[in-house]
Amino acid sequence: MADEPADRVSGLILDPAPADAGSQILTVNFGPHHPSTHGVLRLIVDLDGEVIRKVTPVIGYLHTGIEKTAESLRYQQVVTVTDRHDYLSPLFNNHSYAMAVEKLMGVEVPPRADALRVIMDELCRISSHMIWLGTSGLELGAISMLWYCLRERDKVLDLNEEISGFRMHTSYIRPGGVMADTTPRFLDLLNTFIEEFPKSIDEFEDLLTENPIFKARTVGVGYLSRADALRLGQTGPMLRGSGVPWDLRKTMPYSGYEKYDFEVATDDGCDCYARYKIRIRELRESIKILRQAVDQLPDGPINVDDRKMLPPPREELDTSMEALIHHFKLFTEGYSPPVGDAYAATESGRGENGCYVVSDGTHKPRRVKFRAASFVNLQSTETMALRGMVADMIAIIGTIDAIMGDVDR
Amino acid sequence: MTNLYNDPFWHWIVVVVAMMLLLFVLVSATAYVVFLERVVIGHIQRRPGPNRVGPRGFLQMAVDGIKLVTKESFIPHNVDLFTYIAAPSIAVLAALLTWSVIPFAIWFGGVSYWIANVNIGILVIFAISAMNVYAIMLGGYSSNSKYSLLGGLRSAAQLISYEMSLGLSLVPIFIITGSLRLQTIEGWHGGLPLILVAPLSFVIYLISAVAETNRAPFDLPEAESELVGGYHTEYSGFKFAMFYLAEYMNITAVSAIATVVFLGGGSGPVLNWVLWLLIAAAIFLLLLWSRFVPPFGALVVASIVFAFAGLDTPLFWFLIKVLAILFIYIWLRSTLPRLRYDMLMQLGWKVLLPLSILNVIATALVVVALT
Repeated sequence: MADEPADRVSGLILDPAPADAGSQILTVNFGPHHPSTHGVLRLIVDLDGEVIRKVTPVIGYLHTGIEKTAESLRYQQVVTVTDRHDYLSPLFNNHSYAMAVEKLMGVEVPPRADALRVIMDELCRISSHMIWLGTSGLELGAISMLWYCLRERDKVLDLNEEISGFRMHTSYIRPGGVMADTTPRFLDLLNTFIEEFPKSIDEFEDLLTENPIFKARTVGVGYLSRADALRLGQTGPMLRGSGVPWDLRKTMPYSGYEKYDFEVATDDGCDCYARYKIRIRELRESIKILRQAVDQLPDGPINVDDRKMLPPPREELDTSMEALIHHFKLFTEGYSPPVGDAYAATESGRGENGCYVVSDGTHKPRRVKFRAASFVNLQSTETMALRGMVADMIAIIGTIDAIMGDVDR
Repeated sequence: MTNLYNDPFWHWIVVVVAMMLLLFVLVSATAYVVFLERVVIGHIQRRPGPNRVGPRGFLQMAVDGIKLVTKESFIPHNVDLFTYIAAPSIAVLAALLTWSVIPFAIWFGGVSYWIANVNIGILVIFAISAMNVYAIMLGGYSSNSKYSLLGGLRSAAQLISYEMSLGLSLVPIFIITGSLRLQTIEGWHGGLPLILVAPLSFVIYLISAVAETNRAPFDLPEAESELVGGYHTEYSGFKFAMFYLAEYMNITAVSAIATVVFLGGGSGPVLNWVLWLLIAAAIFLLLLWSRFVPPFGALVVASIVFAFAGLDTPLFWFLIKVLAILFIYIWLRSTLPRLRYDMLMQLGWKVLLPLSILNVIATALVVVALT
């Protein structure tokens, strides 16, 4: 697959390959309601027999207006809607938004908050990858993977529940710090999870990694060359699967990622199997980061000491007039960052999860824009699926790991 | 008691009774094969499976059946009505007819009664099971849906390809036993079950049978992640139930054929009734201890084992062996990913077919050399 077809101009297919003479093109509509389109992705596929001649993704079926809603909420309220656009990695959405607002406000979060953010991010990466592994296994026909993976993901959700009270949409990472400190039970559960999860990864690998059918279905399927990956703006495992060692945690470290010793998983396979192996390795790296983060968890406050941004502790309200005023102002008006704009990005399970916030000096953001990794990664569908078979397209949709809430926002 | 087969009148009475019994037993047994599959897959996936309706969920299939039968029989627009209705009927017809020659007999008064004891039993089975292609192809073609059409196309190619290796995998058996009659093959006394004499045939048969019955990992015609429901996407209610029933009847049928041909059918240790009583008691205690069923249920299961094994040992062994092969099918489905269409064709034409031809030639040479 080294030679690139001549009609691939700037990564987009301008002129779909002409059908063989005498063959008939069958246009099939996959989705929006289809078992393997990850929600509501719609693909209009031109088939020549079983061979794909053209793929047109149609999006917009899960448009929720989250970015617009954010404009009518106060800065601290926006956190709750960021949870819901990429609903499988809420922590990364919180994190990107919080970092952008912190840049606007010019504050630095304390080290303990950073460490907790890293812990929750890595847990979230694991839970997001678990959904990916389960669903893409299910789509390739390995139906049991879904149940095994959801079971492991449930342990992460238990951890979320223990620390924040919510299982999925935690709103745990907020501008100025995090929502709550760890509890002893959380640390117990986390330590057990760190001990046990690598064994689960081994079990998943036993089922899939060397399975001849799984390899036949993924090796060489969904070929995305390094040049195409870069041209199409791919990030995350899609980019690293094409051999580009680009991981924001390493290349543009945030929240103290530079302190942890971990490797960026890359693979030159450029196919679905390479991306599978990368995600599996990322799971192991996440465990490595978690182990270090728990060992090095610093003491100290979990929020910035800024009364203009975060409410004072309850007991201060009884003794301090200023505390009462701050409390009242925060819960009636909120805080107003200076005029300006800020962009912050985290490396989510899907790639660069960026958040761009524009402030006009009021207590509500002028504009909140998410750089959704799913949306950008979805661009490569046609490049990868063309001239493949219908069954390959299913593997390719699985490997992109697009979350439609993230795509449509 | 005299052999009722010798009386022309009683012969027909026996055949009709056996047919009715078979129909009844087969349809309900098929429902419980589905139940078995759901429970086994459930446990493989670390969940309990159906366990709400009736004790341990045993009435789940009855409820599902009633639901499917009483549903509105919805017919989409612009279907080819005749073929649309004919397709599921052909599926059930083919599945039931296969069973007519399988030596699944009633032992009564020292004589085995079966529906048909024909000297070309295996050929009848192949001829009938080939009709399945029509069911699936017509179903896919007539329902005016692209998913169905693609599913139908896939399965036409798949069934025709695997029919070849399925047939050829059994040819060594005919060479060894010198008969096409299933009863003769079952009773072949070469000293060993045929699985040990012709293991390669068994493996090829098992793989081809999975493809022939459209089961995972070869369930391309109905690959739900690609073609939604494949050829039965547009079917609902009773017509869907017929396709579903036919699929599981076919699985049971191929397992039964494997049992008869390779595993020696109903042969097995014949113990006297005292030993069987002890075994039944052991099963009863085991079930009580495992708490999988309530005490009364354990008693029922143990009594059934005793009644079956004590009164009709061959039938008991036959069912045990069929269940073992069914378990392999279920196991495959819950663990393996699905093959792609072209890989399936390559496996069929480039691997299994040459292998089975070689197998035939090798067996023939060995048999000639020995005789």
